[in-house]
Amino acid sequence: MITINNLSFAYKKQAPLFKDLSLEEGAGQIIGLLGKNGAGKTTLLQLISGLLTPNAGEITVNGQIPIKRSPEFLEQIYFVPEEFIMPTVKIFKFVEAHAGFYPRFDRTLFNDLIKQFELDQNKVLSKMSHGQKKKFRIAFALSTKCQVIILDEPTNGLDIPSKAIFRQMVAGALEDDQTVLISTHQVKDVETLIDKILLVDNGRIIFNNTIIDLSEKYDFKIVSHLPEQVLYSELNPMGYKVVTAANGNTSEVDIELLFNAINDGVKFN
Amino acid sequence: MMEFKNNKGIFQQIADNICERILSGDYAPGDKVQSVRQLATQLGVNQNTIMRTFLELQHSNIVENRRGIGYFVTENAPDTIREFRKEEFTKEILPTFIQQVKLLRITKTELEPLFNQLKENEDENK
Amino acid sequence: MNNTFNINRFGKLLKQQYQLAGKTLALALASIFIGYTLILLIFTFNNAYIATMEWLPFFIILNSAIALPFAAYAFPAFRSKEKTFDFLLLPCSVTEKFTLNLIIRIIAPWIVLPVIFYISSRLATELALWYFPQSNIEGFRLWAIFSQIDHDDLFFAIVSIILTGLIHQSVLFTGATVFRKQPLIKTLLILGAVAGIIIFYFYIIIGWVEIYKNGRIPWFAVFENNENTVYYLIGVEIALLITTLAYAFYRVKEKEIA
Repeated sequence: MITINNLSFAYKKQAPLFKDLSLEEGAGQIIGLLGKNGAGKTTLLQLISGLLTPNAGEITVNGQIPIKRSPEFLEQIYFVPEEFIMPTVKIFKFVEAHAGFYPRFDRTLFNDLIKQFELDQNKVLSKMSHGQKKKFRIAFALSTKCQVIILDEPTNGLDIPSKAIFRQMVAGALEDDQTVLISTHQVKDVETLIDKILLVDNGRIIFNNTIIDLSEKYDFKIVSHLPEQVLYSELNPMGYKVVTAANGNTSEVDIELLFNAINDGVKFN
Repeated sequence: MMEFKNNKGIFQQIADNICERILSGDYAPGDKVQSVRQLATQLGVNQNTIMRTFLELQHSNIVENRRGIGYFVTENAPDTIREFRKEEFTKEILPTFIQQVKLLRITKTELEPLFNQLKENEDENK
Repeated sequence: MNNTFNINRFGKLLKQQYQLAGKTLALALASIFIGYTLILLIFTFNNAYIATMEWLPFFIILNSAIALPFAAYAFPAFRSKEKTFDFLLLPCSVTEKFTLNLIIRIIAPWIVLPVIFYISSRLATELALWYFPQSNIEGFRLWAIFSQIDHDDLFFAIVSIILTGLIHQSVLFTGATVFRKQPLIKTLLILGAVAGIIIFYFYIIIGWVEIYKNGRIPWFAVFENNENTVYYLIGVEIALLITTLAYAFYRVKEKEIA
C-alpha cells in the first residue's frame, strides 16, 4: 500500500516539481507511470523509495516512512534505476552477496528468469552490455519478491525479443501482495502488462484509471471519416485515430492516443 | 464511415481466443483451462486482466470455477459460444457485409461459394 | 526487528563486502606488502648499521601514506550517483553501514599495516644480513621503541599517538562523506585553510598585537607550563574525534540522491 498525502517537492534552487500531490495505491497492481520529459516521474519514484526528502506532505509505504530508510522498509522495496553501475563480480557471486538481505528471495525463480533471459551465471556483471545488465537487474528485482518493485524505464536498452520476455516475466512472477511501478516512455512495451495508468503532469497526478475501466468506457479506433461525437482525433495514414465514448463494446486502450488526448485537454474519468 | 481498427479490449481478445480453442476442440467440456499465472506468463499480460477474462467467461457460463483448483470448461460451452458468436454475427458482421455488398454492387453469382456453404450447413443440421 | 543495529544483518553486510571487494582487498594488501618490502630493502641494503629507533620514521611515514588516503576514500559508493543509489537502498541501517566503513577504513589499518610493516622489515633485515653478514642491523620491534620513552609518560604518549592518528583519519573519513570527487585533495585544502587561519590568528596576537609585552595574559596561557596540559589536550582530541565522526554519521544519514 502506497499512500501520498499533499506532497510538495522542489530541487534546490528550482521551481517546485510537485505541489499538493496525493495518491493511494493498493497492492496487487502493475502501475504504469507516464508523463512528459521532466514531469518528475523518476523523482516521484525516488521519493517513494526514500532517496529524497519531501518538502511538505507525507509518504507511507506499507505504513513505513520511506526517508527513514529503516532496514525493515528497505527489504520490502527494490528499485531498478535507469542507469546503474555493476560491480566486477560474476552473477552468482552478486546473488550470494545480496540475496540474503531480501527475506523472500526466490532462488528457483531467479535461476529460471536468468535462463529465460539467456544470461550466463558465470559472466562478470561489469563486462556485460547495458541491455544484459538491465535484464539481470530486472530478474534480480522480481526474484526478491519485494512488496514494492520499481522499474524506471525498464525496456530501455532491451532488444526486441527481450521486451516480450520482460512482459512475460513480470506478468507471471508476481504475488497478490506485490505492487509494481513502471515508469516509461515506451508505452507500447508495457501496454498489455500494466493494469493501471498514472499520468504525472504539472506537479500533479492528472490521470489515474485502470485499463479495464478505460476499455469499457471509451472506444479507441481507426476510422476513414471523423464521426460526429469524437473526444479526440489525430491523423493517421488510414484516416483518423479517434477516441469516442464506448457503445457497449470494449476496446483495446491505445495508451499513446490516450496520452495525447489528455495532453490536448480532453477530460476522462 | 469505415472502421479499420476496432480491437476489443485485451481481456475480450483473450476470452475470444479461449472460445476459439473450445470450438476447435483444443479444450473439451470438462477440461481444465490454463491457470491465470500460466496465461499471464505465456502472453505477457497482467494477471488482473486475465482474471477479468475468466470472470467474463464464467459469467457467460463458458467456464466454471472449482474452488482452489481452477477454471474448467462447462458441458455446454461450445453451444453457448456458438450462440454468442451467431448473435455477434447477425448484429455486427452481417450489416457491414450487406453494406459492402451494396457498395460494391456484388451479384448473386459472385457469392456462389457463400450459398454453397450455407446449403452444406443446412444439410448437416438435418 | 532491530532497525538500528542487528548483528545478523551486519554479518551479511560483512559477507557482502568480502564477496564484492575481497579480491581487490587481497590484491591491495599484496601490493602494500611488496611496496613496503622494496622500500625497506633499499634502506637495509644501504646501511651497515641500523638501530631499532631508525625504523620509526619509515613506520610512521609508510603507514600514514597508506592509512590516510584510505580513510579519505571511505564510502566508495559516494563517488558516483549510481553507486550511492544502491548503497542507500541496501537493506541495512545507517549505523550498520557506518560501522562497516569505520572498521574497514579507520580501525583495520591500525592492525593490518603494522603487521605488514613488521613482516616486510623482518624480510628486509634477514635478506640484508644474508647478503652482508658483517652488517649490524637491529630488527624492528615496536616494544623496543616504546621502552625508550620515559616510563611515566608512556601511557600518555601512546594515547596521544593513537588519538592523533585517529583524528587525522576521521577528519579525512568525514571529508569522504562531504565531497563526491577527489575527497582527499579537497579535505586537505580545507584543512590547510583552517590551519592557516589558526596560525595567522596566533601570529597576529603574538606578533602584531605583542600581547605578551603588555603584561597581559592571553586566553591560551592556561595551557602553558601547566601540569594538566596533557589532560586538556587529550580531552580536546577526544572531543574533536567524536565531533568529526558524529558529523560524518550525520552526513551519511542525511545522504540523498540529487
